[in-house]
Order: sequence, then structure tokens, then C-alpha cells
Amino acid sequence: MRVRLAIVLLLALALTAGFRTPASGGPAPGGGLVFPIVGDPTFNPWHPRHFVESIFVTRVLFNGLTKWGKESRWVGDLAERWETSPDGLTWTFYLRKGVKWHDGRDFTSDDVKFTYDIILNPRLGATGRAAFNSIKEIKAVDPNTVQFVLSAPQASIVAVVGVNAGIIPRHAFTGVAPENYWTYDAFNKRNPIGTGAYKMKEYVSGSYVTLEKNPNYFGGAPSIDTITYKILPDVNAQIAQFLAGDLNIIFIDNPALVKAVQGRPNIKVDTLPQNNFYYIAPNHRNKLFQDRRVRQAIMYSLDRPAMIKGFLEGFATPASSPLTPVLKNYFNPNVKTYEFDRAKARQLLAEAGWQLGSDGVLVKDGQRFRFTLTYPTVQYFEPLSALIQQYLRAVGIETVLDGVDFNTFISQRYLPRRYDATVVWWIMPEDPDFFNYAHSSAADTGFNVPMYSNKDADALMEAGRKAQTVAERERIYKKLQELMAEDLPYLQLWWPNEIRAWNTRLKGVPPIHLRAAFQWVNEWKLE
Amino acid sequence: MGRYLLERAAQALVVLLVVSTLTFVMVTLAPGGPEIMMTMESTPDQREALARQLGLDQPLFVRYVKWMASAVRADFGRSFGDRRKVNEVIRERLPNTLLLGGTALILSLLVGIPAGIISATRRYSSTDHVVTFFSFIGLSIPAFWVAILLILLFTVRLSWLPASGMATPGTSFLLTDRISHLVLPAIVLATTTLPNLSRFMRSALIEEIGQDYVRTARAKGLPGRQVLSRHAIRNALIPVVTLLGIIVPRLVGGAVITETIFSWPGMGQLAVAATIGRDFPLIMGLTVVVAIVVIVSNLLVDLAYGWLDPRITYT
Repeated sequence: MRVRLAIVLLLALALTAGFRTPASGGPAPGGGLVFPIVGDPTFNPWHPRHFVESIFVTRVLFNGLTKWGKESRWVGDLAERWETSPDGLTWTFYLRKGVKWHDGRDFTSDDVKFTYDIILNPRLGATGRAAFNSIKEIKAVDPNTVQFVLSAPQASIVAVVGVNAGIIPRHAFTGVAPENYWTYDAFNKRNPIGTGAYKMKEYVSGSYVTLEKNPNYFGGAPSIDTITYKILPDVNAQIAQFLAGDLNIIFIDNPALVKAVQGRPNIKVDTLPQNNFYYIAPNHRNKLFQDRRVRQAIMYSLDRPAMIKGFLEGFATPASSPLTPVLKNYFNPNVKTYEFDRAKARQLLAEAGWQLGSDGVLVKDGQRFRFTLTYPTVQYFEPLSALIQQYLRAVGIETVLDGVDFNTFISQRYLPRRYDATVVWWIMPEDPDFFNYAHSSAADTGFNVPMYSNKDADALMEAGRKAQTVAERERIYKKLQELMAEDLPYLQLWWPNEIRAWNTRLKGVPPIHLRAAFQWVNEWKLE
Repeated sequence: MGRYLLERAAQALVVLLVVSTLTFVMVTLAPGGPEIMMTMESTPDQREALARQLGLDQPLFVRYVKWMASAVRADFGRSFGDRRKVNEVIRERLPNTLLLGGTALILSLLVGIPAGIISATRRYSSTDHVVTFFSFIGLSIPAFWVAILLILLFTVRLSWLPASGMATPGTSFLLTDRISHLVLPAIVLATTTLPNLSRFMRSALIEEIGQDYVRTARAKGLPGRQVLSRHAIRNALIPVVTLLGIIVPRLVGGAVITETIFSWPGMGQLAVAATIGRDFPLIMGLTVVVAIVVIVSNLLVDLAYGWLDPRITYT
């Protein structure tokens, strides 16, 4: 009996010797980058299921015509240079020569045409279509030149072709009918072929994707040998593995987790602004919000710095406009701002004809100031909406909270525009073109969430698209921001920072948001 | 026996029919839509195109008939998410869940049953109190807390065990590597079933030991161990086997938290993602598979009764 027990214990001990012990320092120099994603990626940037976890992979596998550069401006990726016709309706992109696909075939303008024809095909429903609405036709002029013919001028085309717009090869889809593009697992789920710095090495569904370096990458051969995207749906597990050294770079979504990784000698926490704003969108078709003074009063009644401190540990800036300082010269720092001022709020509401009723709720023409605040129950929207409710109550506005899960929010509230006011966010490409988000034409079916309609704003947004010079665009968009600060299409809350952290052995991550930084991954180094 | 099995098979078909129809109706009527259509940035023509591709432009009844027609041929169509074949996805995930669930179950049985027996035979002793104490802790503590705690201890502090996945990325199959990945999730999953098993065993055995036939056997002069092993335990196993019939389906379809935290690519995680994403074909396929697991495990439980309890026959 004792001998049997001893043997069992010895066996157990022998087994543990073979256990994998993660090296606390991470992989060897050159080695491998290990980054967590929350779900299984799809390797086709146009696939309807191309969500955030896929973006980090496809931005490395594929290249677009342009990309966001390290000095925060748009630079060429597959295109070397570009020009527009005098009427702004034709854009010509001159493509790099000598670029090869991961399988050795030559990249040509025909691949660009193939890719953009997919986007334009109305029967396919490719993701990201809205950004390319004004593209009418693509012409492959010669193997290294491609032309976009637009239905209306759009100066932001340069930005738009650089955001999640990877070019895919025509030859990988020969023999596949277009209606089967999204079910073509051989490319979408197993062996994507791109032009990027890394190519597919191994994919184990539910576990990880490993890419290996492409020594023939036109942007310069990468230094790091492999990139492994570990599929880790739980954020706490991500932090734990990062601390253990199994991951060497992570994206921190929840600022409360920063203290878990801060202060350690081998970890660098980095934060930077991004072109992203959180807002309350009042439904401008609702009579309650049609008086500008009411909208301004709501802005004055919110203590945004306190909310930023409470929900975001300070990792955000109160927003003075939907357009962020990331846009540099297009950003107007001198617009009307709204400090926390309850007295001002009450005064404006009174001027708009609202009287305080006996129960503390404002009344006008027999109608109480009461509306439903809709929000998706993700991130911190639930406590945020409850807090907004409190702030508004203090100035006499009664709100009913309506929180639903994200899917229901989109299908039952956002798409049918069934809300009095809603709390959401927009992440936008780094271009001031705000047309899709606030032009009256985008109200019912576009991204104009507040259903805003203002002729002057419309005119400015249209002019901004037509403008031919940077100086003119700067002037127009600065004016638009002035208008929006006064007229408040959106009640902008804040611009959240992006927070990311990496092991100090990792060098070369450029100071741009992580999705764009990954497009420069060939320049990163692991020491 | 053959007739009995045939009856059970017929019952099974009826159950599957009812379950799948009910699920189809509930899932279709629930608010929301396939997540590829429900994004902030989608356009109306995009949603229209996708609705057509997914067959959602057709009336409910037509969709039901189409689904049923291919389901009886065991073809559950393509996921509404990444458009992979549902059969392929389930085929990938089911073995992982069976591995984890099976390991957790074996662990629970190997530790839980003896613990229950010891508790019952040494009732109110300090051993009993220790076992009971740990049972209650196991029942009360949420799985995700135990999981994170174990990860912090064994991965972050000690670097003894990995915190996620089934194998180290990039390595070929190595048994010790696989076992090291199984340890923490199996332990966490076992904490949800082990205390139940040990408590059940304890109370069932206490019940048996108090019976007349046990007193008779002892009076006859049978040694205590034989009284236990040949008579009391066998009878006490009957309620425990019932519990197994409930535990097994729960392990197959419901180990979501453990699977999510340890990134174990299993059915539970898949089911939750499918539900959140309103992925109708995947939800339906998973429902049918889990229903089959429930039916089969109930059948096995009933057959086990027949083996354990000589009063029960199935002829």
C-alpha cells in the first residue's frame, strides 16, 4: 500500500517536470510578439464578421492604399502618391511597383479594382460600405495606376481608403462566385493571402493565430519573427497573462485595470488621445430638444470632469466638439465650452420657457420635461446613465432609463431611431469629414444619430468635401466646429484616451492608436 | 430490453422535435438580429443584402421547414457570424468540452464519492466537519473567483501552470503540455460539481446505514467494510446517479465561465457567443446537440438504475 502510494507520487512528480513553465521574461530576442484578442478573427477585411478582433490581424496581413503615419498624417501604403482632378470627381492613385503577394504573385491595380468592386457590389453587403458611398466606379488604368470615379467630391477619400481597407488578391478567388465570397473559408478562415509584413503561419480555432514574418515585405523586412494573437475573451485573464509574461503587449479597455499593471519595472503603460468621442445624442425631432437653449442647459448641468474621474480614472478629456485634437490643424480650440454650471443651466431652461413645478420637475404648457434616456448595457453606460439622470434631476429634468443589450439596442432603438435621447460613442477615421455623422441626408438611415438638420451645417459639410486645398478645409471645418459648439447637434461628453501597455523589451511602437500602430509592426523590435 | 430501447428512441425523437421547434420559435421572436447586421456602421442596403444571404427575408414557416429538412439529415447549415458550417464548428468544440467536462467529472467522482463515504461513516467526527466545511465553501464560492485566484497563484506568482488554452501555441502535441493546461480549468469546474456529489453521497449513505437490512447484516456478523461496499454504498449510489444525470448536461453546455476565463474553446462559450450574436443556425445546432446529450445521459442513468437496483428490470 505504502509502496503503491510512493510510486503514484513519484509519477506525479515526474509529470510535473514536463509542465510548461512560462518564462517570466517572454520569448527570445527576435522571438515572438504575443497579443490578446477577444474572439476568433476572420481574415477578410470585407467580410461582414470583420470586427475588432479581426482588425488587429488584417491590418498586419493586408495593406490599403494609404495608412495613418507615425507623424499623425496620412501616408502612402500600397499607393505611392495620388492626385485629384480639378472637379474633384476623379482620384488617381499611383501604386508601388514590385509588390508581391504572400504567395509570390505580383500585386497589380487589378487587385485594387477587384477589392473595391466587392465593396460596391450591392448584393454582397461588404463591411464598411458607408465610408465608400460616393465611389461610383474603379478603373485599372494600367498595372500600376488605379482611378476612383466619384459621384460627388469627397476630399476625405485619402483617409477613407486607409481605414480597414485592405486590398485582397483577385487570384485567390478565381472560381469562387461572388455570392460565395463570405462562405469561402479557405481564404476567410484558413489561408489568407495578403501583401503585408506578416503572413499566415498557423490558426487553431478558439485558441490562437500565428503569423510569421514576410522577408519580402515592401515596407522593409520585419525584425520580430512571429506575431501570435492569443484568443482570450476574459479581460482579467489577459491582465494575468500579461503580468506573467505570456503576453508582451495588451490593449487596456477598462481604465480601472491600469493600476493592476502600473508600477512594474518591466512594463510600460502608454496612453494617447484617439479620434473618438462619447456623447448624448438628443433626438432633434423631439420637441423637447429643439430649442438650442435646452441643449446648452443640459451641457451646463453635467459635471464632466467628475464623471471622467469616476468612470475613466482621468483617462479622458471633456470634449469641446465631436472633432478631436487628433485632427491637429483641423481642430478648433477656440469654441464655446460648457463648464459645470447648474445656475447657468437653470437660467437657460427658464429662458426657454420652462417653469419649475411643485414636485421639482420643469413644466411648460402643461407638459413635464420628462424623456427616456436609452443606452446599450456595455462598458460603463449603465452607471453613467444613472449619473446623468441625477445631474438632470438637479435642474428639474426627469429621465427614465432604458438600458438594453447591445444587439437589442442596435436593432430596436438605434436603427428604427426609437429614442428620445441616447448615450453612445463614435470612433472615426482621422479626417474632419463629419458629413456621415451630422448631415441631414444621413439622419434617418445614416450615422446621424441625433437626426440633426441644419442648413448652415449642411452647407459647411458639403463644402468641406468639395474643398481642394488643405487650407480651405481647415477654414471650413473650424467654422463647422464653432457652429456645432453653439448649436449642439451632439452633446459631446468626452474624448477617451487609448491605453495600452507593453513589456519594456518591446521597442518601436509608434505614438498612434494601436490599430494603426500595428500597420508599422515591421519596425517594432523585441530585445 | 430491446423493446425498452426502442421506446426510448421514439421518445427521444419526440423530445428533439419539441425542443427544436420551441427553440426555433423563441429565438426567432426574441428582439435583436444577427450581429453582422446589427452594427452601428451598417447601411440599409448592407443589411438588406445580408438578410437575403442569411435567408431572413423569407417567412418564419418557410425558414422552419427548411431548417427541419436539413436538420434531419444532420446538416445544421452555416453560422450567421463567420459563415462556417455549424457542424464543423460543433465538431471542433465538442471534444474539447468533453475532455474538460470529463476530467472535471472524473476528478469530482474520485474525490467526491470517497469524501462523502468517509463523511457518512465518520459522521460528526472532525473529518466529517472538515469535509463538510470545504463542501460548503466549494458550493458558495463563485467559479470565476476561484479561477482568477488560481491563475494569480499558479501562473503569475509561481509560473507553474499556464492560464489559458489547451496547449502552448506553436508546439506540436505533447502530453505533459496538454495535461498542464487541463489542471486549472478542471479543478475550477470540479468545484462546481464535487461538493454536490460528496454531500449527496453523504446523506444517501447515512440514509442507507440507518436501514434495517444494514443492522441485520451487521448482526449476521458481516465485517463492516463488506456491509458498506456490498450493500449500503451500492444502494446509496442511486440518488447520486440521478445527480450525475443532471451534472453531465450542465458540464457539456454550461461551463461557460470556466471556458471563458481559461479560454478553453468549448461548447458553453460557443453557446453564449451564439446567443449574444443571435446566430440562429448555431443556436439551433447547439440546442439539438445538447438535447441529445441530455437524452443519452438520462438513458444511461436509467440503465444504471437497472444495474444498481435489482428490483428494476427493463424487459
